[in-house]
Amino acid sequence: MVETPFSRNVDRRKFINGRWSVRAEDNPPGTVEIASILVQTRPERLDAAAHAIGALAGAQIYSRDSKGKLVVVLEAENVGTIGETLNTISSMPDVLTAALVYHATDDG
Amino acid sequence: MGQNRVDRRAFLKLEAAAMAAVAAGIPAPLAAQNLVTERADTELKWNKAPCRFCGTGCGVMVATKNGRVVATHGDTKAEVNRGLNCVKGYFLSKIMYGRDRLTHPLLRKKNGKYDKNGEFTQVSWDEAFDVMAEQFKSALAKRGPSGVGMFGSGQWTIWEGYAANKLFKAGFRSNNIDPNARHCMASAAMGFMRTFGMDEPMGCYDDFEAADAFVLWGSNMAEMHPILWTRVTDRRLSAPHVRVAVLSTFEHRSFDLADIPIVFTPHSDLVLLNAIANYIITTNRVNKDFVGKHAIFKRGQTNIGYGLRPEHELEKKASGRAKAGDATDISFDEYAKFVSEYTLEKASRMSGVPVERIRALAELYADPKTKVVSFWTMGFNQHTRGVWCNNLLYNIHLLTGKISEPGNSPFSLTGQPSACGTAREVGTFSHRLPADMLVANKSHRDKAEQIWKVPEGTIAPAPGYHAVLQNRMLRDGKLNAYWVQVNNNLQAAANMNEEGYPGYRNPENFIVVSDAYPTVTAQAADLVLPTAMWVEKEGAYGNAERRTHFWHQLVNAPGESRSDLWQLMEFSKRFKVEEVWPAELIAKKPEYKGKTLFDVLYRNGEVDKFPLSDMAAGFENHESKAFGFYVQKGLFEEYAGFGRGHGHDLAPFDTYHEVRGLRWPVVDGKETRWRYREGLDPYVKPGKGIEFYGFPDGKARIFALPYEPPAESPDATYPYWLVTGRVLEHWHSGSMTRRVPELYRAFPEAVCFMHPDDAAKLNVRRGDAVKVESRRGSILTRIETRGRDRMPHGVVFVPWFDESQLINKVTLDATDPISLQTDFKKCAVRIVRA
Repeated sequence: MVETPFSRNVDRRKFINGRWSVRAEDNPPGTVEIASILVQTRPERLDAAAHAIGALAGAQIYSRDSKGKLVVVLEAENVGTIGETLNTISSMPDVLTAALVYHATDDG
Repeated sequence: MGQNRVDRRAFLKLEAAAMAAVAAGIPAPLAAQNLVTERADTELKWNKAPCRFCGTGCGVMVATKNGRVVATHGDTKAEVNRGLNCVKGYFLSKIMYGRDRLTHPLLRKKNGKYDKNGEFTQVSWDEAFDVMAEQFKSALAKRGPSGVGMFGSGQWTIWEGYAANKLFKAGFRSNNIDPNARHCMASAAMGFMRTFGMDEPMGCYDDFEAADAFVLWGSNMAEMHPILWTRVTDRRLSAPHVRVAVLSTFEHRSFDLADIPIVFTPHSDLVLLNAIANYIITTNRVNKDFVGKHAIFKRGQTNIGYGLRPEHELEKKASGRAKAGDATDISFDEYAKFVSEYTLEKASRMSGVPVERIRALAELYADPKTKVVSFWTMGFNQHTRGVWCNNLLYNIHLLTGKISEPGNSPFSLTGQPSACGTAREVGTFSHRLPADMLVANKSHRDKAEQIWKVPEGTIAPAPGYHAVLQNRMLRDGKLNAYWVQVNNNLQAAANMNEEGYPGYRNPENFIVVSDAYPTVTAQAADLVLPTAMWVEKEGAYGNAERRTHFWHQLVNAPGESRSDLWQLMEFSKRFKVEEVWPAELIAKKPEYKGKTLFDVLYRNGEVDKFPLSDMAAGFENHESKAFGFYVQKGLFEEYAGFGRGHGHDLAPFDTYHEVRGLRWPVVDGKETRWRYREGLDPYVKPGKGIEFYGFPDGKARIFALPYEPPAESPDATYPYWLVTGRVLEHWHSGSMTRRVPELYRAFPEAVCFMHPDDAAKLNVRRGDAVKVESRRGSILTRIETRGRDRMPHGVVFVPWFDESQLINKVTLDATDPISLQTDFKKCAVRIVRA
């Protein structure tokens, strides 16, 4: 077990104001994470959304259809990126929904 | 594959893209069209499992490699999500691998002995259970069954909840067991019971594609149920006549799709609901044939209080407190007269919503040609009149006959993966037994005792301590041995300063917390048990549309972590019946003399009926191997005996490992998508058309219930409404999602969302530190005036995921007096620059 505040005795003040989160392990070097995301926009906002998403690092658009759907593939090396990019996409003004379809960690 | 130049990663990306295209029903990228069938090459082992997070119940395909989960994708065969997942699906492969995962039991010790003020020290399971058993026995000796209790979860698997329910209600004879679902959907459950005599929705997700209108009553589906929101969005965009109304006390992401956006004054939803009923009546749109045949009218008890401690001023004034759930029969005319005061104008005055917008909303319900799905979650349920809100919404669907058919559906959504499957169906509430039965009902106790093969009189008739009462009793030193599984209640429960924390640290109490991570709750415990999670064990959940679904154990839990199920069953071996039951009870079943609770409850000829050879080949099953029989199957089949033939029929155990879940009642191998309608529900008698068979008269109840004010409203000293809730990035208390760095970074700390004018009045800017303070406690946080949540004047929103900003120090532990669920959405605060 790693050393965390948890290993020490509970102190009311620390407990009330404390911060315990310990991050997930980082990926070993050479690992890549790949994910695909299905984005729904209002049809008339498809181009604007595609433009904004295409400008994000590690994001590529693989398919689109006229009803406002986009298939986006994300690639990232560290653990710190894919979820964040997905949230960024979800929060874009032209995006109604962004759903994760596939996610893999590839170490080979 | 004819693409030699495509390297491995390009291949993975094409595969990812192809799956997304398939899920979307759009053509896959050309190069990817042959790829999906080539999975055998990728050396990954894929199996199905439901998602670990919310109550939607998405199906996920999970890939393992070298004993670790390495990939997931939305299950295209799952009807719920059809290949999609939300961002939480992304964490599924990571939540088990946080660096601070607990791997050994930890006991507070000083000088080699248990000491409440000692330091957490690694101990063996034997030592952990020895100390724990001693503490439970001493609490039982001191106070009897009321001295011990358990706080469980809507994230328990079905068999975990069942084993726990049995251990406490039959083994320890204590009804002091309650799930965290009490905080989440107790009002929905009580609402169903009160209107229909039977819990859980009549419809299912298939309603979405048949609806002409969607109304969100206090539900932010875009952030909290993104996959269901995707289906709503699809329907709205593909059928232009469809309308979406979104109601909330502030504007959130779901408003992006709203045709009728409605921001109302907190608590005035009671008025809006009655005004819609009145509008339906006064515009002559009552479905008289339906109402005449299928509903009766009731006047509910009023002035029912706020579930605070009895000595509270508000409770002393609550004349209807002791009979909060009572109601008397009235006629339709009396009901119509009752709601007549709720005009659109009055509703507009009290809610702050323009009359025309309320009319547009009311018209969706009143127009007989518009099929309406109503959704709600915490906005209704976490409400001191939450049961009333549920009842009042059913009133509207019943008055118009818009119920129990595709597209017409009052639909209560849930926040946890098995709030329905475990908390509600297994009956892990302090007042319930499996299959909607009640501890207070003698014939229900008889039935449970018969199935459990325990003596008549084993189950206590009085409901035990519910969630909020458990914290109060801990604080008062009356509940002395307490076990918490699969939840983070110290962070989640309201008013932790005055009740939760002092209760956990009360020297008279021994607190056990089973968790995978050192949560806030674990920090305050005396014994922490490291726990297996999700696909580290074989499991079953039940989602919001009555769908029961299973998964196999796919990987092993780290270190000495054990599932909650193993913990419950192994612990039961420490108790001889003589230590927990009085002699006169044992005398009724002398064959139990000298036996352990494990023998009586789990080695009872039913739970241990299925041999290990029944297990599917190729999967681990830690608990079954440990106990020598197929534990999950035995528990499930015994449990299913409660509901089969009574409208809660579950399919045979093995079926669920094959299918993507089935919606109960499952009769003759067929699931039921819409209940209470002839032809769709096998329980409706021929010729009835509609039958609400939860009540013997086959009729639903329409309730006359007024507006009553909230427990606490803003005043000169505390001028703001405080609303708490969740955000997309974090699930509940964040104990799993905050261990995933992406999410941590995307939304690292809670903030206080506020209207820019209010911020200007306080002379604070976005990002400034402020103190949010109530009569009970305060937290430090930062102001946010932009972003996804747009607050009206006088209302602030603080999410509760952040353990460094425990907003439940500030909230009030007022509850709905009928459901006993806390109102986390309303209390009065002041905000000052820090």
